[in-house]
Amino acid sequence: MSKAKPKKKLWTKSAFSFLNDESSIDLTDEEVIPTKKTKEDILPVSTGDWIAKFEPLKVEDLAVHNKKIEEVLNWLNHYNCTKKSFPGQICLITGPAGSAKTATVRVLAKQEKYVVKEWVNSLDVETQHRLGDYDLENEQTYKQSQLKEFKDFVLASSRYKGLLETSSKNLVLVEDFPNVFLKNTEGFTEILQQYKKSGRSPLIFIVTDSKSRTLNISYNLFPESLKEQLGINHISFNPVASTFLKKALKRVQSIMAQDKIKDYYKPVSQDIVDTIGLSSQGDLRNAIINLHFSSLKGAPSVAVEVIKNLSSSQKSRNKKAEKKLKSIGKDESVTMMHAIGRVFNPKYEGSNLTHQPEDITESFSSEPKNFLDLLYANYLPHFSSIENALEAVECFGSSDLMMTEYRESQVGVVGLNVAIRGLMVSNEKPVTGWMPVKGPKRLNRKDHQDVLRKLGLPRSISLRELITDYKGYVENIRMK
Amino acid sequence: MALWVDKHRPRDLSKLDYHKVQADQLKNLCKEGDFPHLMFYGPSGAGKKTRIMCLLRELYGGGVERLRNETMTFTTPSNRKVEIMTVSSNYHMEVNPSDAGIYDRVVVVDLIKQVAQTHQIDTAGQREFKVIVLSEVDELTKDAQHALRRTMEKYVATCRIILSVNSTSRVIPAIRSRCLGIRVAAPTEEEIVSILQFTCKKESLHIPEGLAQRIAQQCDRNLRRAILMLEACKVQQYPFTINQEITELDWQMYLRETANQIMLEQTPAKLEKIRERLYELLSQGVPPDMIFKGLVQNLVLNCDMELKAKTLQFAASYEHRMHNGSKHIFHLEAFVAQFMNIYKKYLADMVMDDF
Repeated sequence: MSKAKPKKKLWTKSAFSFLNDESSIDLTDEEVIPTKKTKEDILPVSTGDWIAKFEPLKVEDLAVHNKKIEEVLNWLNHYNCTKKSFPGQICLITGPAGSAKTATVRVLAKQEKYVVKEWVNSLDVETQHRLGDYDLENEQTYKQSQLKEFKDFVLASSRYKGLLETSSKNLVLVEDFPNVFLKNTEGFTEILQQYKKSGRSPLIFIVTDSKSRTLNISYNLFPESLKEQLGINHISFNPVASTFLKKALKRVQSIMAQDKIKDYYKPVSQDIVDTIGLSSQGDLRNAIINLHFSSLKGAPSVAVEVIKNLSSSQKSRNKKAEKKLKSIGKDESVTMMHAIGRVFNPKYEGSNLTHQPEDITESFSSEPKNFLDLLYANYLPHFSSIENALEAVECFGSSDLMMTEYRESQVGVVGLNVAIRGLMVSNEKPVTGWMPVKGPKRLNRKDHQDVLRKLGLPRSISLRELITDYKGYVENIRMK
Repeated sequence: MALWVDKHRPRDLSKLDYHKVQADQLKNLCKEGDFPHLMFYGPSGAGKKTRIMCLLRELYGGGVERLRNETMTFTTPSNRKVEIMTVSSNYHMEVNPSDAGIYDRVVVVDLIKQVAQTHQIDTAGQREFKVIVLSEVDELTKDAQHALRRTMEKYVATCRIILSVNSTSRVIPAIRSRCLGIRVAAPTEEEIVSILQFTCKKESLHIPEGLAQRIAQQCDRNLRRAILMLEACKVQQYPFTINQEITELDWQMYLRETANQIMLEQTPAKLEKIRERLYELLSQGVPPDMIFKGLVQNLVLNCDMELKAKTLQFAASYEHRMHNGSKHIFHLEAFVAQFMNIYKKYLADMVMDDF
């Protein structure tokens, strides 16, 4: 890729520094980089897409539970049986990042001899005139709307086979949703309806779960009613289980040891592989990337830190301690479930809390309300005395007041901090033992206009009057 | 079949049954050419709406009673559509903006703009302004109330606003000072009794004095509830007897049962059960302040004076916090926890005293 530059002391360590200058590595970490480095030792990584090397080729290689694979396969088979009468069927696959959604679809498509046509958002590049001016007279500089482009793609690629392709079985895949649809859900619904009518191939949407409500594509674009109306099959993937993850990492290691590429990699200890597996929390992509970078020859020191962490956790043999391991280059990510455990069963190191409330708060600063609701739904079973529960619920109250203050954006986070700290500190004798985690409860009120109509009341009656006065009596009166 | 509440509602200021002096004053108000913004305030079931409708009739004549229902759609800045029911005549429009929840601001501003931008077609022989009746303004968010303040000023040439409010304490001072406040106090028990008897006379029924008094005692001085109770009684059993059963509202019974459970056991596990019950009430649509009131009324029954005072003090402070916050359940639960705590201590002290 690049030739070694004239040796010069660099003052920052580049992530790819081993590609061009080995000596720069030693600058920051004296103890860690142990071996001598010579030109032969370190080879540039091939320019190709290195992660492609690790992609699964066969169904057996997939790190997905057989049942899930079967589910997708069944859908494809079902499609085959019914395509005469319903040629345009749609499937939605959801799951957390790195749960092998795309890989499963691709491997199965290959096995079933489908040609995958994937939609890729086009870049917004204006065509420029040769002289460098924008061609304003010809309307050609104006791009087609993304929506129309998407529609044309989906419909056309379901019908026609490519010029150089032998198989005429197409499978349309959409992973990269055009941004317009986040705003314009009706447009998307229309396209789906049209596809249902005139599509000629199976259409698969792959959506990664996201925590934010507004960006949650499967929630916004695929409401239950639409799924029902169009018969969209919904398959949801789980995070990769740890046994599968281990197997997959082993496979990756064996690929790394293959003749062609083994020069780039050094073998890594099983400890590190385990750590990577654990800290990825079921995100296979993340695990593979981490493994790749930690086993490249000349990879920097992070591994040492990991091992240190691991040994301390091995001592305590505690599940929670294992999970918080830091991996290479990835921020500590706490899932809600772990955080809940930390809040309800706080651990002390001497007189200090092991996990500071501030740290936990920070992990949820983008959505303080959701986390607060979750805490609220689950806190009571952990309390043994009403005095302590009172202190905790008071903190919830203060927290709610702060979150309602919308004029200052940071107050919400402070509010969450108050609640978390209150919960950690106020509980003198936490109830231990396994407790199922409950989701926050949502109030879904019935439309009161419906009730008014049913009872034959004038429609100007407000909800408050209806419930507190009218409803009970009018039901009695109307019965006769 | 119209309900008695609607059928026997007075339609004219001179026909009102109580607050007669005030009725005369309202009449005088209409005689003047100009007319201020008004704010009717008083507990629910006191007759605010009735007075507003009578006043409108006095202003515009019988035309205000030709009502039509309309659903108006508003678009929020975040592109969400909000639908609101309105009831309107040629002269006025009635709306409950708090139905829009957190989007009430948009409703307040857009609705008044739409109504106020058109003048009355023919100003000769009638008022040159229209009236917008906004109900439950105290339920509006602060944001919406501030928006209302500005709009009130801006369109004063073409429209007047009549607000109907339960408690002025939750209306921002800026709105209070822009309106002429009219207090509609709840009718006294005697007034309710006489109205019940009058209603029965119109229906050509006979009601024993004792039953009318019992209804008046049970209705919390809420006239609407009293008349509904009366009609429910009639459906259940006629001819009336003095000791006949008066139907109670199911949510009130549910609240009483909830309060009893709180008295029985004071543990976090019980608190969680109570939370379920509170959720049930909230999802039925019972307003949280009514839950507070009902709980306190039932809880203090078995307490001594000191505990009563404490309970009330805590209820007041938690209710205040609830109105400032957005999660009603947090504050309701905090109050229940607080009561459990002091009640447990109280019980423990009693046991100690015995020794």
